[in-house]
Amino acid sequence: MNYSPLLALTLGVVFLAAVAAVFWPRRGLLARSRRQRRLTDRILGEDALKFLAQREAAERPATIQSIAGSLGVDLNRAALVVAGLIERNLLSRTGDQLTLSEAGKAAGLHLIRAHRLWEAYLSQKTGYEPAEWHHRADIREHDLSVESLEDLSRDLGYPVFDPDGDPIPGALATDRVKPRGVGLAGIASGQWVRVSHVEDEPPSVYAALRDAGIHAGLNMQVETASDGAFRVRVNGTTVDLGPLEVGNVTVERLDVEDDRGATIALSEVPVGTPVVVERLGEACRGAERRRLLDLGLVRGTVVVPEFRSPGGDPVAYRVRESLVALRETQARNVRVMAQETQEAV
Amino acid sequence: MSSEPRPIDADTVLATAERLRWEVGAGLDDALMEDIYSHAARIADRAVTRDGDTRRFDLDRAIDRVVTSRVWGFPIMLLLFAGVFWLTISGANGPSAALSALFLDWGLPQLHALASGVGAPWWLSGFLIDGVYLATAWVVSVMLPPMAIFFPLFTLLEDFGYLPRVAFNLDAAFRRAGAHGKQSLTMMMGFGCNAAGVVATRVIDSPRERMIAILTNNFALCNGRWPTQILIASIFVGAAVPPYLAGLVSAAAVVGVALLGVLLSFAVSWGLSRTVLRGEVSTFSLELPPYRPPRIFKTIYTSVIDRTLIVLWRAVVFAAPAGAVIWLISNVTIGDASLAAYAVRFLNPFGMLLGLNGIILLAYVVAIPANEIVIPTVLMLTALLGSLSGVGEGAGVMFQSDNLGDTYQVLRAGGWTLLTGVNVMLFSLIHNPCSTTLYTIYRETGSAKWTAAAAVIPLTMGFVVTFFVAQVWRLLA
Repeated sequence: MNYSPLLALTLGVVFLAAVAAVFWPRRGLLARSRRQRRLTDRILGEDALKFLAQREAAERPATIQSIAGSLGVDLNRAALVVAGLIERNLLSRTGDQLTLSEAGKAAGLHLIRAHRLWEAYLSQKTGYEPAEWHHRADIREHDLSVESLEDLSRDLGYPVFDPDGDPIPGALATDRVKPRGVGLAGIASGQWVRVSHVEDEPPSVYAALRDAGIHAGLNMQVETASDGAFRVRVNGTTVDLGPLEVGNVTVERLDVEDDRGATIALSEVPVGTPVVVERLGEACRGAERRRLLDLGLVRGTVVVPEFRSPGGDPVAYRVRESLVALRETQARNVRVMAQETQEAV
Repeated sequence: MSSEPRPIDADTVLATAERLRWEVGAGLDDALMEDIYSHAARIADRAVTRDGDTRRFDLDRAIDRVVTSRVWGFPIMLLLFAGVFWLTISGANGPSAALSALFLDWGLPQLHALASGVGAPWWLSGFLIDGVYLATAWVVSVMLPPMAIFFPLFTLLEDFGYLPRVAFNLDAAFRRAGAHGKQSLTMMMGFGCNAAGVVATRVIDSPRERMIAILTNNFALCNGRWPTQILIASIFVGAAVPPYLAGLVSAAAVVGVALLGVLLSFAVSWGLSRTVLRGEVSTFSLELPPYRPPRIFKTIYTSVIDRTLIVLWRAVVFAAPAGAVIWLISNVTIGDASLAAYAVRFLNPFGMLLGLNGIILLAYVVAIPANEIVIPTVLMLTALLGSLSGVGEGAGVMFQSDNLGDTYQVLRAGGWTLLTGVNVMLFSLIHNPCSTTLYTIYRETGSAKWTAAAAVIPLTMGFVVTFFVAQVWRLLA
């Protein structure tokens, strides 16, 4: 075959396109086939056990239909998975009622534990975005043995809750699966609450809540709670929530007003205005949180925004005689108060 | 009234602890840690007295307002770096020529005379003198002077406190690529030497951003590659335009290649931060230390010792065996052809596809240790394999003429065209880092996997870029 530039060019483009089609992250053939192969009987069975354990903790009975829906497979496949579990004595069936055996329940709790511990690990030790925690844990939960979970739990300081406020089974002697608190929907206007849990599925609702600044551990006030509208006050700004979002948030009532709402974000302080650090936001975790603490951004520290970079972000702040540049995303997580309102320490 | 201390059974204690752990919720650890920090800060505030030097502080702020201002920030930065580059290039010319005269023009014949004086066989003196010694001497004379000027100047700016402000000014651009503002500094350092640039990434304390800076440092056109760019641009690109434009166009071509490198380093940073490095921990911190008068002698001493000599030593360690290999492949023959001839014959079709040729590819393989000796190797192989009479110093002896016209003639005879010149410039920018840099990357990351990635990523990109440039060029020409 004789060389021609046009032919070579065409072959080159075709080759590159083929490589891209195979290796493209998440959408390529390789990634797809890996995802497909993951849906083995073992993994589907484990997912079913996890789902059933969650349903039993919530005292909502599960059916083969609901299992199929949760696993994302058709009824046929779900029935086969359930039959397999019954055969292995992990599950029993009376009429329409599916009940986990002791062994089945233990297996289900192990998976819930693996999932939530892995989310805690991702939130504390890696740089993955909150939106990625859930699906990464969904994959990893199947590869973690009981012993490796012990090690993981020890490395993380024996956490009791995952980053969204779900309790981690096995952390306490009594296995708790359901989060604390009550649904946000039942809270009356004017009530102060602390967010105890944010549901991370479906991802779109979770992302909307994250964008609104709502996450586990946050204190906020319900401003308006009527049928049509639900409005909360989060860190000094007012946020409207849709019914799906309200339904995915669990809270505990606070007896007192939380004046911490009077704080503003450091990123909003104009240049030259001294302010006093009140606390770091709950959304800032792991290495990032330690870094800010190391820089001296702790309660009572005076901070002055000194000057901005040409693009406006980052900004240089004076903290305890030294000059430190922070990006807007970091400064947003530092809650501060005007210097006058701070009582003498 | 007194009550006997009642023994409490362990189960009650555990149950209480359990209830409390459940009730205090998730934020306890963070709250506790924050309290410890603020307590420590309060104790320190009570115990430590400070004498405020506000005059000094105000001066610092005045400087900061100028060097980070929207209007003056970037012009000052460009001016300073242009000055550093100008000083390096103009200052290094003389010493480089002197070293070259000493090691090559004077030292080489002397060593040969010595060797024939003691009756050494031709293959031994060829291997040791034309191979090992020549490559080492070449690398030292090309590499040492610019580094000995560039690094101290750079360190002076660092010592004065200006460089963190550069990182501050440029952070917005690097943030968008998923990188750290301090990568601007390691990139600058990379223009001097990629190995030094990789070492300099230690200033980035966030693991993800540091890895990005390490993997993309190679796209900063290093000291060893500038001469290649300038040479090829003057004899091929400059020759393609009218003479009165030649200087301008070839200079623009070199600057264009360097800017392409900057662009690619942003693009690759962006890609890495969104794919393989997505899960690495990322934190940002950038301290802006107070300005202070630079300590000139200490700076020069430490930068010469710490940066220049260490890098030079590593380069020498790698260049010596490369010289040996270059001499051997040109002199060891199987049948009637040298090893180099076989390799070139094998690589030629592949080189042709990339708009290069087998000799260039072979030169890049054997000259992995140092980019400085790529062009001399190319010239030697071209003269040797093309059997050009009256050119070159013999098999395995690298050479480079001071006369651009001679070099042009050799390369033309070797079949070079303008396309070859352009693609050599591109491939010189986009290929695997030299072995000194790769070794440094291995030392810094401690990972064979990342070291391999640092070589494979740019090499693949280089193949793709030169391939498509060659095909499109041939279609249009």
